[in-house]
This record gives sequence, structure tokens and C-alpha cells, in this order.
Amino acid sequence: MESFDFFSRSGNIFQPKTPVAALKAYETGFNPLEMFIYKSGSAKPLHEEPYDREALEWFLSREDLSLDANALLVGIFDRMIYSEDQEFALFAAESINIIENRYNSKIEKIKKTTKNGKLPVASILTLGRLFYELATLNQNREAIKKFYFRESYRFFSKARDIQALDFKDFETVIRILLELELYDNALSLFKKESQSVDAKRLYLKAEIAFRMGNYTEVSSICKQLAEDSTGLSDKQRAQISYWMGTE
Amino acid sequence: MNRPLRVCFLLEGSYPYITGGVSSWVHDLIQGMPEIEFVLFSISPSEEQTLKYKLPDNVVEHLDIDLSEMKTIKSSIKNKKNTLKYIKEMHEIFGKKQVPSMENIVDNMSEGYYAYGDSVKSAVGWEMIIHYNRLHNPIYSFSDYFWSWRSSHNMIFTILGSTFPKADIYHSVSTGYAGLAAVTAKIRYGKPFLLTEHGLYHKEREMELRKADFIRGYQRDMWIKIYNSLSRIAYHYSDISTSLFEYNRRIQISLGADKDSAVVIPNGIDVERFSSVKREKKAGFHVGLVGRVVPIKDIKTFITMSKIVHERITDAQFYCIGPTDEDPAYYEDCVKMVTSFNLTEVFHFTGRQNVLEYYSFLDVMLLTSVREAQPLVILEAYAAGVPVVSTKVGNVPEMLDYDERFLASPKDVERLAMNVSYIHSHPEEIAVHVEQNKEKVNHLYNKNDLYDKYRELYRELTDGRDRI
Repeated sequence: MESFDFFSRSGNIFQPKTPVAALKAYETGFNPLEMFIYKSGSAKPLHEEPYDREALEWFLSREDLSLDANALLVGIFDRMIYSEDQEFALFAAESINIIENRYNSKIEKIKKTTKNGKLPVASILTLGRLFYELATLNQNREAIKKFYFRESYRFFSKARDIQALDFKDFETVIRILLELELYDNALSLFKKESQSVDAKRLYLKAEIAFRMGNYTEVSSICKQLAEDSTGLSDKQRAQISYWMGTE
Repeated sequence: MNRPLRVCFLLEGSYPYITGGVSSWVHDLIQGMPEIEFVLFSISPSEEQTLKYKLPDNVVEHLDIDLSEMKTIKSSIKNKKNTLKYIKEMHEIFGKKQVPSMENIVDNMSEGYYAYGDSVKSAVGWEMIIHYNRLHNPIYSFSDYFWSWRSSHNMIFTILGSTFPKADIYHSVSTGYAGLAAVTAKIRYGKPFLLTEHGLYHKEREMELRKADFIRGYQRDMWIKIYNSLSRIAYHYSDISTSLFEYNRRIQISLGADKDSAVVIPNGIDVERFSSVKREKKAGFHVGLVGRVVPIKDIKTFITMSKIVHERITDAQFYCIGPTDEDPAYYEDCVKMVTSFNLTEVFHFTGRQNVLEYYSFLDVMLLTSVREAQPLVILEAYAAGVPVVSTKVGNVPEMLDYDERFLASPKDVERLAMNVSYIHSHPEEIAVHVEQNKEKVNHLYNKNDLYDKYRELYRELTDGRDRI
């Protein structure tokens, strides 16, 4: 096949839907390299309007999508439900349901992992994380979001009764309390369970102080962080600069 | 004197084994036309299912076909080479989103001949599978492709080789395998084919496929193509196709139904039964949703909306009226949500109930579904004098006169809450509206009219033809 002949032979050769599939097809000798070049060069971002329903459907059909991927999809579907085209709106509403059902199935499966009538702590922690993800996905539905945050908090609290949480889960619990606007609870939990003063913990403390409107405290923590911000992300560093008024 | 007209209902995954909207519709239609003899041809996913309906006396014969069973060839193919050629052509035509000549295929296959063996095991059949695998699925697992191909084609060939009950009309209540059965019977016996669709079969299957995580990659596309092709065949070969509302009729036409033979026949309800409800104002404000507690009804949106409405209307009560045992995990989640929102005192899961009792005092009937065709609960509520707020799904916007005061996008809790609150704060305006709705149901959605319309279609299809 010559160069871009595959355009005129579209009915007779394999039509990969993604750049990854086009690359695989090239490597296994089914398609020319040009198909991969075309496919990778013409990929349109999923969130760009007008939405490509087929691409969305293809992406949605993949199992075990990450939280970020699910959040991207839910964000798109949340806009699509207001589409004038009824089929489009229904597709979006059903797709949100599909994502939610996947989480529910995972949750139900984990709930069945009881030993002697009790859930292992690892399962309790997974449930806490899954409910946290569900809450994050329902960013635009305030009441449902809070419901899932509360469920998540319930499981993390259960886990905390059994063992100390690692920093990531501890940070999640603090964020839940902030989302639920339970600032005093967040602060007392932080004081109780966070003895060490590494940059990540300090940053979390600054976040609590900021939400409570305690800007003097924020400023003081930021000064400490300016000296040592080991382990913080670029986004967190930018936030510190913003709080300090240097950006 | 002519013997009674005999109509063969071709049914897939519905009456008389599964309860639901389509099944109730078939049951009512049979009961509503005692002068007609009905035979049932039920396509089932497995053997020995339990009857969920007592068959009316005018059901004179009932045949079952189990699609999961691999049929043994009982008769021979007329012209093997030609038939395999036609099957190959059929695939090529499907690929172009056109309709193949089913006459060639059906004429070459005897009753009791199941082409599965010849089409999969013959050199031509095998070559066909390999060819399409290279075209559509070359970089993925061949075994996944093969088993999907085998399973889908086994079902198609089982239908094509079936013997159907003799009848004057073949009436299918969906496209899909039931529609294919009707097309086969029409060609084989030279009798008319009436297609009635409530929802849209290929769209419903598409939704199920999207939910099924075990069908991956090209397999999903393949099944979707098959279901779309089966719908195209049914629309093309139907002598008359009916749909519940105009939007679906247009989709039928876009997929090949004849414009002049595609008609809208809305569902009807027993207007007298529902309009006999004696309305009594109960203290407080009462919002009800009549439906099963399942994700498609989006009960979580109802609960969330209740939370918002309850903050505005403190004496509001909410009722979820319908079975809770279909999806226990979803129900459990809903109950938790009610508790979490502190609504336990005001939100009630009633389970199965006599809805008439609730229609007597409900101030609003709510529907939060993400998919519906033409929900009868809206008509029932209208006949009983209850105003309705709903999501914009299926035929709902038309049923609610495109009135934005009562409509919201699916999952739009704020808008639903606003609409419910509007009904609460505009009682006089709503009272006028309720009377208009009653009139509308009485004139447009009366079940007795439905029987007459189908009698007329049966007559139209059999006029000038000999009875069996």
C-alpha cells in the first residue's frame, strides 16, 4: 500500500480507533505507518466540543479507569445532559449511571469480603477511598457529594479505630472534613495525629488554617515551608507563593 | 364462514415469562380482542421458564424456542454453495449499513436446517470468519472474536431454521431476533408482518452492552452492528411498523421503515379505573414516584431532590412506590442516603402497593428516570388528577406538552426541585392544568381506542387475503 492509500481503501482494511491501536496494527504488519501518524496527529481531545460520542463510548468501555479519567468523563457528561439532542442527553445520563454502578459493584464486592463477620482493615480502607472517589465525581451535585464524603469518613474512622492511617489516607480524611466544613474537627484531628512536622503535613495544616480564615497562621506556616518544601508538588509550591503574596 | 383471525405474536425475553411494560401490553391486547385467536412464539434465553401470566382462553397455541441451545440439523440445505454465498453477501451488505435480500437466504434454507454447522465448519464459513477478523479485529484476541461470532450467528441461524406456528399475521413486539423470526415467517409462508415497538430494541441492547464490562473491544462493536442490522431488516420487511411516539417513528424510518407504513399508536390506560380515584387533600405536601427501585429510575436523584424540597417545604413527604427487591444493593444505598440526609421521617419506601391509594392524595407525581419510552405512570397520574414533574426522556416532553415548568434534564436535581416547588406555590394555576391533562388522557390515551386501532391494522393487513 502506498503512503496514504488507506483513505481510499477505508472499507477494506482495519480501521484502528486509537493511536495505540494504530501503532499496534503497524507493528503487527496490518496497517501502514501513515495510519499511525494520521491517527496520532488527528486525535481530538475528549473534552473538546462538539463531543465525539464514539470516542467517549470507546473510552468509557475500558475497565478500571482511574479517578482522573472518570472525573474527566463525568465532567463531560455533566455538560452533555443539557444537550438539546435528547439521545445525547440520555447517553450522558446513562453513562454517569454506568460509572456510578461500577463503583457500586466494587463496593458491594468488597463488602462481601468479611472474615468472621468482620471486614478486614484493608477492605475498610478501600471502601473509604472508593466513597471518596465517588464524592469527587459528584462535584456538581452538592447533596450527593456530601453523602459520599460522610460515607467515606465513616469507613476511614472505622479503620482508624483499628490502626493508624498512613499519610495519604490521613490527608484524605482531613480533606473530607474540610469539604464537610468541619474545620474544628479537622484541626483537632490534625493536632492529635500529626506529631511530625514534614513539609506535606505543614502544607495540610496551612490548608486547614486557610479554610478557617486564620491567615496569620497560614503566613507563619508558609515561611517555614519557604525554607524547606521537600516532597511538595509544583502545584502546592505555587499555592504557597500565592498565599505569601509572592505570585 | 371464515374461521377466526389467527395472529402469531413473536416475543423475545418478555411475555409470558417476564413481567414488564411490553408483557402487560401483549397480555392486555390479547384479552381485549377475545374474537381473535392468538398463538405465541417465545424466544427465550434458557429452557423451562415459569409462566408469569395466566394465558387467556384465546391463546390457542404456545411454542418456545431456546436460543442458548445448539440445534441439531434435522433437514438438508437446498443449495449449500448458493446459501453460503448469500450468507457471505449478507455480511458484506450489513457492513454497508444496507439490507440484504432475506428472500434468497430464507428460500434456500429448509425448516429444521440450522446453518451454523455449515457456515462455521465449512471452508467458506471459516474463510469468512478469518477475513472479518483481519478486517475488524486483527490486533486483538482471535478466540474472543470467534466465540462472539459463533454465539451471535448460532442465534441467528436458529431463528432462520425454526418452524413457526401457522398464522394469518406475524406480529412481532420488537425488532431483534423476534423481528428476524417474523421476517422469516413472512417470507416462508407469504403472510404479513406487523411490527410494534415500544422502545427501540437496538438502542436498548446498545445500552446493555455499554454496561457489560465482560464484552470488550471490537466484540461490543460487533454486537451493536448485529443488533442494528437486525433492526434494519425488521423495519425494511415489516408491512406496517408502529411506534409509541413520533421521535421513535423517525428513527424507524431513518433505519429503513417505509414512511407511509410507519405509524404512531400511543399506549393507552384504563381511563375509567384511574379517573375513578377520589381525590382527598391530605395535610402536608406529598410527592410520589411510582417505579422500581433500580438505577434506570435514578431514585438517588429523587432522594437528593427531596432533600432540597424538604428544606423549602418543611411539611413535605416523599414516597417511592414500587418494588425494592430487584437490585438490593442499589436499594440499600438509597436507604443509607435517606438516613444520611436526615429524611427517614419523611421519605418512605412503600414497596409494591395499590397505586390508586396514593393517587388519591399525592400532590405531585415525579419521574426521575434516565430512560423511558412512554411511561404509563404519567397517564395514570393525569387520569387520577395528579400533576407530573419529570425528566426529559423518551416521549415525556410531548406528554408534558413541552412545558418547561414541569420538565428537567436527567439528573438535574435543582431544576426538578424548582418544578416541584412551583406546583406547591401555584395551586390555582395547577388545578386548571390538571383538568386539561384529564381531558387529554381521556381523548388520546384510552386503552379501548388502542384495541380498535390494532383491530383496524389487522383488518388492513388481511383484507383480500385467504385465511389459513
